[in-house]
Amino acid sequence: MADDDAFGVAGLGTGPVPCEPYVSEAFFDRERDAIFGRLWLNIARENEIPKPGDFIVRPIEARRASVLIVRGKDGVVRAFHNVCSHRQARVVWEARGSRKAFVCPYHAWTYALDGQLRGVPAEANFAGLNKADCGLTPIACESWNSFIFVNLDPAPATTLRDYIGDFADSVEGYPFEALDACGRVDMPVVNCNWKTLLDAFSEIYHTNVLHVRTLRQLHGGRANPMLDPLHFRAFGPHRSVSLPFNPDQSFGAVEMLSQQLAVNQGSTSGESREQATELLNHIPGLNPTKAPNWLLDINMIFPNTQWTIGLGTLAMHRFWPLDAHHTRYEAIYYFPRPTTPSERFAREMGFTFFVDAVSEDVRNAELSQEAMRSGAKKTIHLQSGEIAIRHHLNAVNHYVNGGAPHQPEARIREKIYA
Amino acid sequence: MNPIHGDDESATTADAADPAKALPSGFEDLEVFAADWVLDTTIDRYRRRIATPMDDLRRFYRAMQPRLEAALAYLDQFPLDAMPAEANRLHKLILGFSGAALAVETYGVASLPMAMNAHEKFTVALENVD
Repeated sequence: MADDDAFGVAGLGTGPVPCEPYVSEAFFDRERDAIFGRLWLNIARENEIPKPGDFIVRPIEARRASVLIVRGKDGVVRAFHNVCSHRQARVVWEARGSRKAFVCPYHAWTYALDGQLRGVPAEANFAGLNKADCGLTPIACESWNSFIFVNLDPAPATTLRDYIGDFADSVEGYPFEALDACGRVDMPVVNCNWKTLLDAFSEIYHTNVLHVRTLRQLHGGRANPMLDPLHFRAFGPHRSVSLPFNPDQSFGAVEMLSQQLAVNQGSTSGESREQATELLNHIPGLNPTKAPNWLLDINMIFPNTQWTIGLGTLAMHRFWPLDAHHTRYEAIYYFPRPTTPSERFAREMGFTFFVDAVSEDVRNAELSQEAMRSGAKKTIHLQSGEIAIRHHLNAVNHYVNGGAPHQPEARIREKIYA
Repeated sequence: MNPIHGDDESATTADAADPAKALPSGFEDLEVFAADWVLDTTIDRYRRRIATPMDDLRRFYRAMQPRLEAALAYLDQFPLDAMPAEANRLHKLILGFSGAALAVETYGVASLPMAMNAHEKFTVALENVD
């Protein structure tokens, strides 16, 4: 019975949780195969490669994969293992660029943008070489709302759309395409498990404490001093946690001006907060309780892409495990392209605030990881507002124990906080 | 006067003729902050802010905050991607000011104690903003 509710609130338990999944190398080896080797992973956005021939190369370290993502002459985005068929040299060494074809730097085997092997120097010296079988090895690649996902399973069990499932429907209508500019924070090595860092972005119980100088005023207020969420909903392994605004917050003169210029909790395209709230109220998955004091939703597309969707900004966090104790972290703060110098000013201020807030989470996560590795304590304790962490661990356990990738609709579960 | 940038006043006088080294007419009084705060990139501005003593950030804030709306109104006469050299210099100055203002108005510190040395771990980049 508990298994039927594996991702539902009813199945998530209330007691202490073992910290083994955060520190065990054997556990990470199972995640490497069952999660990062089988599930759809958000890796890029279509506007990073707008024109035919544009490419980016991104690592998926957990699988030791170098992923080449390229827009073909036909406009189609494809992904390949960045590995030459000859002797497995790395074909593209740059992180991004634009090409008419890819020439391996080792012996100049040449591949078309669609991955086909076109040229082999001294081809006649290879006995029985069948070029048609020696293209770049494709990686399953699909887009959803301009975001590019790959799946390293040679034969994925589901399409991307089936994998995201009901979560995708719930946010249909959000103006993703309007948020075409961004600020990026790239941290190549954070010294903690990928879940330790991910957990820091899963709840707001900590924001008035750890973030006392930055996010203190963002949530809650006098009516909700302990920062209870508004709503939690699980869509199979994916989820959404809806979080409250603080109606009592006050701002300095410059931050107030910056917000009027359409930033931190500002608008999507220049409309007022009230107009933007009205717009987003038509999207069922955003502010699902339609609370007047809504600020943002923290959405997770399992396993490692977290989307904080609010008015005027979409913050995305991606957590890429390097091994059990190290993570590469990407934080991307999307907003509409500024059209005036004053809007550009407001975006600088909003992004700087974002950089400062995420910086506070990183060192804390590293020290927590060190503590868990010390073995001083065997468990962690979680309150009801930290339910996203229980849900994540539950989903991780589902996959490492051999669970199927696709989650039927019946597994939607929700909790409305009083 | 900032010892890093010297106190040679004749240099300031000579620079005033070069639009790339001057602020627009009406904003000349902010010139004293230009040597520290006219910087090219977001990470440069971030590093400058966390390395600047709070007293200096407060002094910058007291001078700049009352002028911000006028500066933005002046800059908004120009397209973002085609500002004259003097306007571009003022724009960089106010971009630097955005972080200083967060430190003064919100954080109460230049460098966040809980972030420790996180900035040594990251690179930042803005895309599609200019």
